[in-house]
Amino acid sequence: MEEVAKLLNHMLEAGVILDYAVFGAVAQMRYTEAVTTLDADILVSVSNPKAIDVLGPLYRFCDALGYHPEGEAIRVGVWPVQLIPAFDDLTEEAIRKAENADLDGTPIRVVSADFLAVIALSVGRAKDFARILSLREVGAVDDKQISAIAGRHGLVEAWHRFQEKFDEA
Amino acid sequence: MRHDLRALLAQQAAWQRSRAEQSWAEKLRLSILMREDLRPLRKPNSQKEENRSKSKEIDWGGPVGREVW
Repeated sequence: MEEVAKLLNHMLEAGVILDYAVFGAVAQMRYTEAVTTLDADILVSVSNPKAIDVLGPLYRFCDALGYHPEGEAIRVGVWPVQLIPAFDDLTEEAIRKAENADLDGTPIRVVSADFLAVIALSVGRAKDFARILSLREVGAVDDKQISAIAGRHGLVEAWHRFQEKFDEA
Repeated sequence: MRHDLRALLAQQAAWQRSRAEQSWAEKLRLSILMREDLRPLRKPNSQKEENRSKSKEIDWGGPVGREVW
C-alpha cells in the first residue's frame, strides 16, 4: 500500500489531482481488524469533474509510470486501485476533511472514521451497515458526529433507521 | 445469559479488539493474505457473467462495492 500512497502523492504534486483520500475497506482497516477486500478505493478531487473522460488524464499519468489499467482499476503492486471522483457533497467534504496518516513512514490521506461511516450509511447495503457497526464497536466513531454529518447531507432518516435497526432498546 | 457464555463472549471481544490494535500497515498485509486465501473459492468470471445474465436483481455495485465480505 506504500507504493499506492507514493503514487497518489506523486499525482498530487504533479497537479493531476487536486486532492485524494483513501476510503472503503482499506480506510476502515485503519481502525478495525483486517477485512478482505479486492481493491483499494480512492476518492479523488479533480479540476474538471464534469468532463466526459474525467479519469483519462489520471489513467494516462499512471500508465506513463508503468501502472496499467486492469478492469476498472489500475494495478499498483498487489493492489488494484480504483480512482473514484468525488460524486456528491458528502464525498467532497470527506476529501476536504480527510486526515493525514502515516503508512510505514509514507504520508497518505484517509477519510476520517466518521465520514467513512456516513458514506457507508449513504450507500446502505448490508456490508456497509456492517462497516458502521465495526467502526462503532472499536470506538472509532462518535454517534453525535455521524448525526451531524448525516444532517448536513440529507441522511438523518437513514441514520435514524440504522439506529432503530441496530441499537438495543 | 450464562456466566461462562458471557465470559467467552468477553474474551472473544477482547481478542477482536487486540487484532484491531495491530498497525494499519500490518492489517493491510494481512488483508492481502486473506484475499489470496479466498481466491480459489471465487467463481470464475465466465460463471459470474452467466449468473448475472440470469439474475433480475439490480446491480447496485457502488464505490465501496468491492469487498468480498
